Amino acid sequence: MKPLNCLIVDDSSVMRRMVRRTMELSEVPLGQVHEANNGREALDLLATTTVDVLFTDINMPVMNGTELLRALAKQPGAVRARVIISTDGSEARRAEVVGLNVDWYLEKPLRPEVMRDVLSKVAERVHG
Amino acid sequence: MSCPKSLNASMVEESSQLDEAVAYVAEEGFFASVEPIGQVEWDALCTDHDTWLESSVRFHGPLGGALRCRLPLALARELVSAFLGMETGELPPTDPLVQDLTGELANMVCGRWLTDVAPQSLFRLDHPVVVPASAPSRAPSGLLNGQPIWVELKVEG
Repeated sequence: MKPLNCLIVDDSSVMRRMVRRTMELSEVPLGQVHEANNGREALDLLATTTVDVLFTDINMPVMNGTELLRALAKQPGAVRARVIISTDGSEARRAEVVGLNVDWYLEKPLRPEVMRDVLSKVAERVHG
Repeated sequence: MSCPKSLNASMVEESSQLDEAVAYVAEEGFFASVEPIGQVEWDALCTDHDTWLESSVRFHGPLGGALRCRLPLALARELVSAFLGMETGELPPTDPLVQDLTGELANMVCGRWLTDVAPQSLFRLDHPVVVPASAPSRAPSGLLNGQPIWVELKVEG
């Protein structure tokens, strides 16, 4: 199985490490795992790099997760799967991202088994 | 955006929902529970720690305000270890991850609380601010991993 290339976007270093750890615990083969501090950094990275799955926070400085997803909505092939990981699980926030090609909306704190399920489904999608 | 009918000061003052948010984050994030604690036991425990951190997160939306978490540095280090699967001894007290996690703790509790009390409303949270603090004198929210934690919510309307 081809390993998944991933991008974690969060302004908190401890959150990025937590997400990376849950990914490593999933036992789904991982390729390159990139990190970005905000949506702008993520877009810069995606201009030169292809990833299978994007994990993004919503509330970030410079460019937030919703703005990032809006920008990526114009590039449907840039990322195979888009996952939000946010402290904000409100119906209002979930409604805000409808139409932005979000595949999963996860809430912090994130349990490892939730990440395993998501990565397994992404792997199925990528490998057909 | 108008203030939803269900979101009012009396509801916000209901502490059980804040307690539930703290308990949720403790369990889901750190596989820990929050135990109640009395004032006498609290006073004794407070003297066991000489270094404290306080994190605060301001929120803006139909209601504005701030949520503050105060906890001993030793507990913050334990929480980083639980969060990242590290040994506490691997982590210097001055490691930036300790401050970062302390801020994210307040962020997660605030986000959970807002999600519970106002699921139909959009809020914006500022970046958490973490500062050294002194031991609080008032009754705490409880014990997390056997150590005191104090969570306070101020709503400005």
